[in-house]
Amino acid sequence: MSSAEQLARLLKLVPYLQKHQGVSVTKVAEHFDITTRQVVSDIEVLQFCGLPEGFYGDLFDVDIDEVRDAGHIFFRNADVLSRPMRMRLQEATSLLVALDMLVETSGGSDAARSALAKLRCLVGEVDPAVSVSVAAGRPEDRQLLQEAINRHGVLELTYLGAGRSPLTHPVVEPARLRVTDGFAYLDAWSRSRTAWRSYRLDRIDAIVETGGTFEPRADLPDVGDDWFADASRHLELELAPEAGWVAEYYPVTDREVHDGHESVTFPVASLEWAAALLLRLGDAVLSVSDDHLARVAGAEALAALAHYDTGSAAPTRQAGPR
Amino acid sequence: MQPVSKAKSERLVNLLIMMLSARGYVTKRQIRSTIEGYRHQSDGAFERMFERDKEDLRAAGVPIATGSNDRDLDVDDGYRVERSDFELPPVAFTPEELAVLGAASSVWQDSVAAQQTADALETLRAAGADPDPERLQTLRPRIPAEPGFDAAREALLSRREIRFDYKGGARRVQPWRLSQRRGRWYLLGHDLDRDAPRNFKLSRVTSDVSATGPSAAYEVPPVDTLAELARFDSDQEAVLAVVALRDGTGGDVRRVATPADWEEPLPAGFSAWRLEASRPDILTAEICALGPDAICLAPPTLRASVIAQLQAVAARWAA
Repeated sequence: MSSAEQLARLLKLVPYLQKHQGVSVTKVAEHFDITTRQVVSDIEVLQFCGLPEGFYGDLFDVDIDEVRDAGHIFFRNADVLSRPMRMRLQEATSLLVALDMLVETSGGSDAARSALAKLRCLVGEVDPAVSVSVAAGRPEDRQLLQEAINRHGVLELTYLGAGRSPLTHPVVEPARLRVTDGFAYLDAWSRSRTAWRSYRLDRIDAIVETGGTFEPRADLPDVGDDWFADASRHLELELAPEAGWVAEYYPVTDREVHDGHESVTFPVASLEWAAALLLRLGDAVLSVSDDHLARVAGAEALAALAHYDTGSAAPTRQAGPR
Repeated sequence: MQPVSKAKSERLVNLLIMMLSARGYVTKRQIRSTIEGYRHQSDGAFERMFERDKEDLRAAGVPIATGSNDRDLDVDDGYRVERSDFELPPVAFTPEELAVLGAASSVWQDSVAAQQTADALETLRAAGADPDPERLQTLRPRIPAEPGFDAAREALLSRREIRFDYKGGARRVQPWRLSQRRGRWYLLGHDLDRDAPRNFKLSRVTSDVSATGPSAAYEVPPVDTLAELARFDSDQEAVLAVVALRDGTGGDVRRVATPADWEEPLPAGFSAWRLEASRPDILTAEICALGPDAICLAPPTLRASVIAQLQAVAARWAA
């Protein structure tokens, strides 16, 4: 521990102890995340601090034996340091950004908003220099979902998933809201699928309360970063260098670079997703580990080309005699 | 463990209290004769101790002002700490607000910002508030950091130039803003060699981020200017497209699209939408990914590149 750290803590301890007369050493240790020995050591320093001149009665008034023996602290005659020091820029901005994030994601909470406003008054005009954007859907949706989670209300969602998936109307038992990688999700038991499913909040078009309630299930999976946890297939693509971004953008289980080519392995949640990926990447895909998938993507491309007046059928590879 | 000298901590607190409680400026001589720890030092030892102690107090955030009680004298031989600059103003939080503040303690992940948030909450606790980390029932947002984030943020807050390797070259940048989108960190700053604003993706920085030179070395442009610059990768203009989407499909593309007027007939079950992106190749990829659910209508160049990409996929993979 540096002397700067101890100093910063001492300057917080003095006002804290004055507001919590008789507080236990254990409690202080817990609040300031230090050992009880360190608390006693801090008090040993403070007993010799106070107003200058050094006359008896000018120093802070604390009975160090009582602290050591009885384990509680009475701290008086310290009006000169009755309030903590202002937060440093780094501290103030870290808390501001964290609070801002809570305002963004809490279900339209007034408390989050007013706490942030008070903190802004407290720290003055500072620019946090850091911004975090979360696609968290509509505030009223988050509020509705949180309320349904709290009182175990069954919901019907109108959901338009990623890419090619069609509009669905799953009936769900909402269990948890969370934020992962800049998106907010609802984790819920899908009655339609009889399985746990995650729904991105910004993809929920509408929420209807069915009026029914449910018994909470015990087996809600832990929050992991593997939203592909139920993926049973893996796909290996060889990519031209310009498509290397794919490995940063999607979760991958393996990535190798050889001869300037990227070899990337993805967990694949659905065939539709994987086919859309091939269409998206075009001729940057050099090889595909799954022949069936490659054929599906090719067929999709042909079906798409049928919309365009390209003069003739799309040029396919000449299927000459073998 | 004998970490910090108790004598030193005691001296620092007493020095602060003296500068804080004095009616005017206190001189070095008064300080030396009053504070126990300085009294018996030689002239040289006292000078060194006092300089270091002032530095330590300033580093901890104590605003020490210099000046003189005698306005006619042109020497700043006195020191004081203005109470209004030093003290946290009075504040009171409702129990609901304290629950939110408590939840703030677990937002930052893998960053020194997590410890700084804890320190900020301790300050509130010292002011009589008691942030409650257990109470708030809401989605618990997390902000994960990335390598380079802490160094870039520290430099940004003190407005120092930074250096790092990016896409195979060394960069010298005045950092302006860090923003996270889709879970990834981007640094917007003034690239000194290119003399232009640039966006950098932190995950593509291939070296440590190191700060050089003095603090307060430059001014950061106003926030709204930055927001505009941070939107797109460097100096690209937005590209527009008109796309026909099959009703009930289109996923995220439809969500960011706006309805468009289209005179020509469309296939049954399709309607026209206007789309915007920072680069044409992004639009091509988005439209192709939708397969037969999307038709690129305009502009002609984009339509041609969509057709070319679909033909390439068909040629390579169609059986």
